[in-house]
Amino acid sequence: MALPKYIQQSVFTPSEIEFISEYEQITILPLQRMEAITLLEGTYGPFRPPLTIKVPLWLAVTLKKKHKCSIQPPKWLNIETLKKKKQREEENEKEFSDLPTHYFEISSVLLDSASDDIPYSDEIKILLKDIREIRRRKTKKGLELLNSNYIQLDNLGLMEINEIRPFFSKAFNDMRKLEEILPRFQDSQASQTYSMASSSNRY
Amino acid sequence: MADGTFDDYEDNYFDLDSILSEQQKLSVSFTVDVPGLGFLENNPGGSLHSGEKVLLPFWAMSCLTLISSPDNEPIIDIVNPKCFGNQCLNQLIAGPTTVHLYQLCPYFYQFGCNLLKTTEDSKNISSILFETFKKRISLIMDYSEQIQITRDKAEFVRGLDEMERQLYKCGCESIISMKKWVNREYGTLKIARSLNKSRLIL
Repeated sequence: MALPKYIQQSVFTPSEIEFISEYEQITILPLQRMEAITLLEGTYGPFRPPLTIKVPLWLAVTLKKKHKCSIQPPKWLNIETLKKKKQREEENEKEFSDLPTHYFEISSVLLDSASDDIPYSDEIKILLKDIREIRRRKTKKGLELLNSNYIQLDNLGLMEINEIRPFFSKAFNDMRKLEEILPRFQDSQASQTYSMASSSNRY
Repeated sequence: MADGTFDDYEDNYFDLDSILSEQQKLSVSFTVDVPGLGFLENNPGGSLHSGEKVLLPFWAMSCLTLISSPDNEPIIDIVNPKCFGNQCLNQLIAGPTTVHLYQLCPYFYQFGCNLLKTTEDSKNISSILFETFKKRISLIMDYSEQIQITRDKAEFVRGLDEMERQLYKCGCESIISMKKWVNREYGTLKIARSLNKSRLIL
């Protein structure tokens, strides 16, 4: 209670989420010969130009900034796949389409630092924004249907979960408090089980 | 039930909101004469007559409900407070999102929960509370995402009770931090200023 706010909070800041997502592997094409890079957490390389190699996102971005590699965008980050995802997102009102957990963070990092490696990056930006808006609308809709026992949030990205976490968890707790005094709740208390299931609750 | 209340108590022992929510006053009448409590009806030194209405905070009232008179009747009668009166309940059923809850009682939900734990729920207040909260939640989320303040929003936010206010604040904070991140306002990690200084001296 007396702890400062930033220690008290149970959520990550968006930059922390970005930090986590920077450990995802990504394929790069080195532009010049380099020996292996030995770091505390592992060795990357050696880099031999015509061959592609998988490195963590943070290393890829660092090398990209020094013009030593070009990044190959992940499979889902192209205009056709995203268009399909958007369509499915629009058609299916109840479920979220299966984008990777870190789709939002990775795409924004890549579009920020390596937009010249991604074909049609401007259209992709717009598509991603649309998808995000649709998904947000769905979570909001989910809140209206929500009861205090269970919520289904399959395929929601880590950033999206983190964004709604403080609000949803507090709303759930408050709602449970109110439900405890309901007469029908007290009758059926013995048979009730609580579960708050969401696919990415582990973070 | 006794177990449950104990748990709650432990949980909220240091919670200022929970303490404040127990300060809400109720009008109560005793069914017996109480010696020594005459000061409550401007009769210091004397006894409090039965049937006289006095205002007591909730915490005092909840203790008094545990005591019963020699013929096993409760010694106090509780008059439902105004915020849970018929008129307010009807308003809540008709338009949950238009009622100014803060004006009714700053700790509307918590007070309601506490009250229902000690008294009987004759008017189905619990389900009205539950439904009201459910209906208002989605509007709270909507408004916490809007940056600009419209007249409707200002009106609604002013009418939130303390519990909903915290919820609204939560929503606003996460939206703001998201915005900051999207606009790259967090910046990068930097060396602490004190460390920088010591290096200069060396």
